[in-house]
Amino acid sequence: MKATKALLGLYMAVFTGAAFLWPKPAQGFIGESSRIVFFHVPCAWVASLAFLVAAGYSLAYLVRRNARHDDTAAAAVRLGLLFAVLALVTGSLFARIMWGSYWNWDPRESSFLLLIFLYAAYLFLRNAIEDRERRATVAAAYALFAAVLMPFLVFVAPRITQSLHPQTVINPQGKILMDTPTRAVFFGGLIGFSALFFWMLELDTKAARLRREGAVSARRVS
Amino acid sequence: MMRLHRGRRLIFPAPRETIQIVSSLAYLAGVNVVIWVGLFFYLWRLDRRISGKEREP
Repeated sequence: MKATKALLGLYMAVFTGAAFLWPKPAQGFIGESSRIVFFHVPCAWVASLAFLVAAGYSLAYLVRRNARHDDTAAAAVRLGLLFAVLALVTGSLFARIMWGSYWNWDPRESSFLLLIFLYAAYLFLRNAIEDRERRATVAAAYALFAAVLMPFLVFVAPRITQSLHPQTVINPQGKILMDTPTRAVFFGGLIGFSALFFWMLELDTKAARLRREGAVSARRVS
Repeated sequence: MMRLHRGRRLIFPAPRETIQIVSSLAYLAGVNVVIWVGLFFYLWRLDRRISGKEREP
């Protein structure tokens, strides 16, 4: 497992260098701005993946009532929010270069901001409930409710309205409109960011479990 | 000086603007790689600390 993590470190360093130096900038974009796609899309993808993982573990918690599942669901939402904010920031930088303003109330920007608010509410909800079991149950139900809205906000809402956003990988032509180096770096980035997310999820879940078990033993001592 | 490279014309030495763009991209790539390596070692240390705590009785 250590070797896999070390390999991930090397892989991501190579990916980062390649994203800047290997593919040529895409046509129709100002300067080198198109290179942001190698970081922006993986962040948005990992955010969606994290929210789906959170939904899966929330469902598992409601079925089995195992506190570890609740720890993982909460960790997935925290990380999903981190990557969603990174996607929003990188998107805003791109918007500043291409459209002249950091924020344009574009449907994709707005729907992604709503997604962030939706999952930020999950964390507020968790912090508002003291009792551990009640908190886990309510949070799991909320995560499932949010997961129903998530695909609409990420995949449907931006596609049913006019948008400034460049064509996505899933486009009306049904083709990946990228040359080979761009495609290699792009999908390499998706794989690397996904692996990074699962590593961070493992760490956050373990840390949450240690905190929970520490709190339980402290209560027993007192 | 002009050279032929895989059927394309390569201009050598490259124009000043090309060199400037490539060197600024290389600089950005370097900065990002350093940031990534820093994040990686942070996660690596965190992983070791958490694993150590887990082994504690």
